[in-house]
Amino acid sequence: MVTEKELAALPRRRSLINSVTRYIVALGGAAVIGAIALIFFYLLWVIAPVFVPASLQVEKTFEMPAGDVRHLDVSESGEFGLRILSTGDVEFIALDQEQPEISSRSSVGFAVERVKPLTPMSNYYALVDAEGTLRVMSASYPVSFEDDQRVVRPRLTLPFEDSELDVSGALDFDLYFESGTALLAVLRGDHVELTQYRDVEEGFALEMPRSTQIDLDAVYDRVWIGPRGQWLILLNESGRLELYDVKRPRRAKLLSTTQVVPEDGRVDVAEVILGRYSLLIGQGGDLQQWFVLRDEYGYRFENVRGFEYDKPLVKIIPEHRRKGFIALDAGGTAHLGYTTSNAQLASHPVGLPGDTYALSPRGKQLLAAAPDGDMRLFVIDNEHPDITWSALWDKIWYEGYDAPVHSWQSSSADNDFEPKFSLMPLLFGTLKAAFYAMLFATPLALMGAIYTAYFMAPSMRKLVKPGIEIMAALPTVVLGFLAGLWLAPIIEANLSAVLSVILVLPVGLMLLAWLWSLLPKDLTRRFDGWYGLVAVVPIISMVAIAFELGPHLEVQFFGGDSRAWFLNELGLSYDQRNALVVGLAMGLAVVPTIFSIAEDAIYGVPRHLVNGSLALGATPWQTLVRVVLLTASPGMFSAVMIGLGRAVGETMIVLMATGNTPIMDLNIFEGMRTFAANIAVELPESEVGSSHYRILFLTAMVLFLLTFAFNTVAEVVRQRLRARYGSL
Amino acid sequence: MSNVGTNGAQRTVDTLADTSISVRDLSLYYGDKQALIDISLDIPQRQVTAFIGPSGCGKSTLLRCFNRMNDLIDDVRIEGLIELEGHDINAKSVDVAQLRRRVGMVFQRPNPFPKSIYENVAYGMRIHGGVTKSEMDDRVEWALKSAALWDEVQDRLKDSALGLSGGQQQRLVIARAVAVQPSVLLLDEPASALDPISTLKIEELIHQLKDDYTIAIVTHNMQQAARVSDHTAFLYLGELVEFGGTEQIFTNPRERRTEDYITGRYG
Repeated sequence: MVTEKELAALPRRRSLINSVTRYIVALGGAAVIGAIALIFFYLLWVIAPVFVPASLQVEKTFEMPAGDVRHLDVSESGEFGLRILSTGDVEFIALDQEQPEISSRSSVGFAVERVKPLTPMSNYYALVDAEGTLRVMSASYPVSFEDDQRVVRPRLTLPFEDSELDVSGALDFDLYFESGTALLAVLRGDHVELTQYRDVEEGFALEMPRSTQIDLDAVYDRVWIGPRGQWLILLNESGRLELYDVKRPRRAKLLSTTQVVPEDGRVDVAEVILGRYSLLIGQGGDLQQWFVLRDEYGYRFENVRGFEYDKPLVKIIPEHRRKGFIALDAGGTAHLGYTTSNAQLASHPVGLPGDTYALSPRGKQLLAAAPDGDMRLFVIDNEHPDITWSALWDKIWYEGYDAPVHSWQSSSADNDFEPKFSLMPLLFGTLKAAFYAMLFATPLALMGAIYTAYFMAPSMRKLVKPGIEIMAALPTVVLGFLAGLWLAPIIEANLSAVLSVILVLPVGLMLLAWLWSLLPKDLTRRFDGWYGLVAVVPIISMVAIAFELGPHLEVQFFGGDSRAWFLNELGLSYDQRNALVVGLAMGLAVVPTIFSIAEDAIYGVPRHLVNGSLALGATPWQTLVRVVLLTASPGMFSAVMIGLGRAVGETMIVLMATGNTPIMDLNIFEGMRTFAANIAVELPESEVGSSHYRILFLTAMVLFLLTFAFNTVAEVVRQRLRARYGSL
Repeated sequence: MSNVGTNGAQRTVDTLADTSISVRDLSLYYGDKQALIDISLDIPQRQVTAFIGPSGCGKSTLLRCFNRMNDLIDDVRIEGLIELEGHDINAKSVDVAQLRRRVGMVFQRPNPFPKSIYENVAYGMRIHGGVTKSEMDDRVEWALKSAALWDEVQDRLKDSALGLSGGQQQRLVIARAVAVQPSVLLLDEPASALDPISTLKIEELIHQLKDDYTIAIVTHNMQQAARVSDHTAFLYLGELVEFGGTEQIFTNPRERRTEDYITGRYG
């Protein structure tokens, strides 16, 4: 008897299992999509700040006693402002308080006529009195803890005691102080007096001056000491710019002369930017960057890029740590700019042109002081001025380069260094590595797949197919390690032999096939489907022969040294870890992927199609070419695309076997750096939140999109072709 | 007008018609297993010969011997003689591709290539070569007309053959086989995957084609064999039990096993 309960119970349990299973499966699918979306959004979230526009905003305004401000500065931490008045009073202003006030005031004891900060040190100031006597003053901000409270008591010192230097009658001067050497350049119109002090120590007077006078061919009114005290840069109002080599002041040498404004024009503003290789020279609303570069004709100044402003400029304030600047126009508007990326980032009215301004060392605050004691503090949010979309992809003219280049060079030992973040070399390297890998892998894998699926004896196929597929499980770090440390030196030492393999193997195999066809049919029939195995021994011996032949070929065709021959005849230089090694190693890593998918596609061609063709009198070869490959083409195409996606994203092999040189050269004997390897190399050493860090995430995003695109194309084409050939 | 074969089955049916394929003492082994046992028969020219018998009796295997499709299977061994118009088809000098050109075959499932209708019919000519473009057009038209498909597809020759119905596909496959002008057409259960109306069309087609071709058809459907064939061979467990005129086989079988089969006692 069937009870009603029985009928009801089972469906309920079944439907429970049914729906639970359905939800688990749906959850799994959604989780995968969700995880990918999360990765995508996380990457976007890290990258986004790079493309957020910079801003310059008022933070607070406050009143100070009126005074004639000779110089204004902001401390490293941004906690204190420094005001040097013409009276000789020096005031520290606590900026971090709600209503900033003077926290301490002292006097240097003489009236200050002119102040110029020392280069390249922060917090050192050259103070000049009315008689033209220069004294060096330094401000320091020592931190102490009183009752667990962080207290900063700013202090003034005279680091070189009461050393008094004479700059009387100078149109301009520059004082350079670094690693124990001080260099003072005093410009007195048509000559510069250059004084060098050696073995300078703080707390001791500047002694034993060695002075030289350099006579100039024209009258100049501005002077800067160039990087490391090696150059003297001179400029006058009519735009004549000169560069002297003063490495040895007594043998100063004129390197270059340039006219930077038109004949009848005049220089309104001029300032050097960080590193002192570049000058920003403004005429009216036109600001140009000039820097020194050296080519085969010697040194020259080059106008590299320009910025346009609506109003004439009155002041340039360079950033201390970056190659950015603030350009102040006659209307009192500050324009945030960055040289390398040629970007105008933000503009904001800040006060009157006659005010005194100071940019904090970290470039995050701008302090303005009016003569009437009115002061304004601005905050600058400008984290990534060096990165713009065009800076990432276009050629950029970096300081010291003789032409614009695509360059990836993210770090250096030099503080003046500007990181170069062009993604082109990495994209190029990624595609180059993938190209050479595919060049090796595609024919090998597809031919292998065709042979295995179509010609091979089933019993041999049973061994070969899983054998090749298991190669995919080989850790790529092992392949990379073998490629970099074992294969690369072998190829380097036997280049001509390796190249002759490429020649000998196909020719030899064709010869072998011809000989095989001459053998009696009764004999060859017995090896039907086993040719592959039969050919192994000849292939090995052919490689051996090629290696034997190599040195002879080298003597015969390459003049005894193939690497020198390539360099001299074709201009191809040779790197031990190069695209050839990567092509072989990564090709080997990609082969199983392509092989497996393509083999399945070919093997999956319905038997009745093959029989249909054979029954019409087609030979197996004709059947293969005209029917089997046609039908398997969707699968073979997606095999290649998925292989390409893998080659693009592959990390360990390219990391270990490419040399990681971010160059753009298609030469097979040169290395490259790929996105994936670059991330692996640089992410551990990049500062979290820095431009470098975010750009690495950007490269990860580009890589993600690249592989995503390849796989999508593969899938779309496969679906399309399957719709066409699917109803078989 | 008949004589009796070694196996007790009738070997030739009509000495007035010329023999197209002549089989003598044919045995076929799949490895150790014998699938055909000592078969001898003569298939007359330009007539339809049907092979019937229960599943696994070897009728398809026998058919596949005529164009050597069994070569594709590993471990197949053939003994005996098969002659196509007097030539031993298993001779060393015979090229299997050339043989298959003369002996066309149509399979149970329609198997058009994933190409256009035109290219499907032209496929055989392209393989063998030596046909100009205009000849090709003429031959494709002729072949499609022969297969009674021309009227249905003449405006869409460039369309994919996979868009045709099953019955149309099967006629296309027949057109494709006819296009290379074989002398023999082997039909291996050509209508078993088709609906009744398509089956009917195929049967009409077979009637038309027998004027020009020797046709050997394997079928499960005894009514079909009775409708389309002039001669019928009944195979059972690899043996040729009886071979004779279709009318005679279906109305007055000589063998008990034949009678049992056609009256539905097994199979």
